Amino acid sequence: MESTGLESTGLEFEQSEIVQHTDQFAIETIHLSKIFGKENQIRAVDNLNLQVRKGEVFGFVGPNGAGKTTTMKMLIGLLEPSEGSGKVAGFDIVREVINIRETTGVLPEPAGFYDNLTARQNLRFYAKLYNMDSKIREQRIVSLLETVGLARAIDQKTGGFSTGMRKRFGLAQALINEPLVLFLDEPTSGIDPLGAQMMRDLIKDLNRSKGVTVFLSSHSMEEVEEICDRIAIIARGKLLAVGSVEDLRDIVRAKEGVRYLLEVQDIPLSEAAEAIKNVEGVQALEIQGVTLYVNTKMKLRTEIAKAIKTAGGTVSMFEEEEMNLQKLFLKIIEGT
Amino acid sequence: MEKYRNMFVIAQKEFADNIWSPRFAILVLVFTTIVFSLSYGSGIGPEGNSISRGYLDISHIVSLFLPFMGIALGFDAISKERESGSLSVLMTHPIYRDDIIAGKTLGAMITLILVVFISIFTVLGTILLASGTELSSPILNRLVIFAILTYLYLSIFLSLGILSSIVTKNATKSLVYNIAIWVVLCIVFGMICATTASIVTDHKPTDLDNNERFLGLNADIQKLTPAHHYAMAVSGSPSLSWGGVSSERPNVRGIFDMEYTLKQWWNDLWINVLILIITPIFLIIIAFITFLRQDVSKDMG
Repeated sequence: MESTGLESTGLEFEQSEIVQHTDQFAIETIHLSKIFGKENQIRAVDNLNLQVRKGEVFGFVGPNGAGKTTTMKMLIGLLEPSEGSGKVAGFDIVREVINIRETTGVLPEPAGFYDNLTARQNLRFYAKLYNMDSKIREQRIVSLLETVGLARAIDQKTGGFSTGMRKRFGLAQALINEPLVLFLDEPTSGIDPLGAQMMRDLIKDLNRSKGVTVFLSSHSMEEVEEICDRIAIIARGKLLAVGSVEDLRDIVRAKEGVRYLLEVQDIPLSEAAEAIKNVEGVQALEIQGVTLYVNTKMKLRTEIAKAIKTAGGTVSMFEEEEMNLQKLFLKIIEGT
Repeated sequence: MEKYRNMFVIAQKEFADNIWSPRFAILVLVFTTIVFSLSYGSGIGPEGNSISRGYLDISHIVSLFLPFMGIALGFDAISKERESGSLSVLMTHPIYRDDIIAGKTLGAMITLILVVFISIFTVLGTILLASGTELSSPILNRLVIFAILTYLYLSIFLSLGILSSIVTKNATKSLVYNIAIWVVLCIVFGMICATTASIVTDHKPTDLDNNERFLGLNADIQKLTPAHHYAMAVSGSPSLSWGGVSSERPNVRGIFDMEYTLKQWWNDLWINVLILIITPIFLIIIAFITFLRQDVSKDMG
């Protein structure tokens, strides 16, 4: 099992040292940095060590100016790194840029097309850049537009497309070369909830059916949580955490403890609170209506239940406060 | 050729875009109407029966107004793509930046050949029909050279348009700059030269006595515009723009001066022709370097 440090311990914010590239990852960066400015240097991306597994949907989240787009630009060869190195689909991000572009697809934000051309003509133009056989090319254009739900608009000019249609068309152009790795920058920004859900379903389906590795940058935590296998959180150019949502929960738990919600019968809540107070590791207690909130350093489910039972109470509800990605993200960002 | 495949893909698209754009159709129609009217007049006028006379009249219009055609083909080559976001999408596909700029330049240059071809043959057809003359081989040779000179002249403005589309953020700004350059270099440059020379030498342009210094300075400043070199090579006139003062005229009165051989024409006017060849090449090189040095990643996100 490969490791980025956080993954292996699940409890650390620091990354373990990655010193050599391997070909087992779809994307891999080693100490990747981008420094802007000569005198007042800004480290837009700072010492980024990242490993994206083949076939996974990888979320890349962070506040504005965190370095997400700069990282993506370096990975697709639009920006040269100031320090460090990186590989995408096994190709070096500095020396093998054209190979990378041949094996990846990108939906940038903003994405513009040739609005005087139809969807078919636009895709035909992009396909020609890959020297595709004309018969295969024409079949692929039709099939791609069917995949993204734009088959009916094949001979419509893209200038007349709605935002949702443009996003889906952007995905089609990114898929024209049957990429191994797909970079998506804010794929659902500016589109309605229905369109956004359609786009998410499309991404999930592509990943499952074709095994395409997806590198997704988004501000929508809901979206990232729904479709990503693993997530990296970046702020001020630095990687703060990486892992599955559960891994991120573990990271936050390790730093901030666990919060339980309890409802107790047979004894007053104040008596239950008094009994729990003495359990080692309990940090804070709070009664809100019929619910008792317990903050602990670590998981103490059994110990708390036992203390209440000893005090003569019965636990009728006992839940660990579930933190969604939005909360996890805020906690991790706040913690830096 | 495989190496240049994507450059040709871009050139093909650029050419098709130009040909099918309403802008191109309108400009060609307007220009063809003007040259048709002028050449018809020349063909049936008192000096009719002369193909060269007709083309000399046309060269005046070409010198003043046709540069706008070059500008129209180049002013938004890059800026439009940058504005629409299509450049950032294009850059994610396997294409080198020099292929993009080379393809765009090539596509526009081919379109320009078509423009010159259409206009020159419209004029030729009109004059032949109106005057009833036959087309002789010497005239045809000079006609071909005239077409090449016109093409080179317009290429200068096309290159300027492409350069400006690279350095400006949007197409509107680029168009405004190009129109300003066109008005200065083609329409009023003669007036500017005469005024500048008059101020510097303290000599009134209307005063014909002891005006050698004024005329010398006026002639030197005129050399700064491509319109001067085109006018010299085609008609032997130092300035075809408004308010210009023609000082030193060459012995050979341009490409259609049948009293001189083509060799004599070349000996007398080769420097003007050379400038017409070098200037667009120089501008295209500048445009290439500027585009290759630009941070195109800024257009994405």
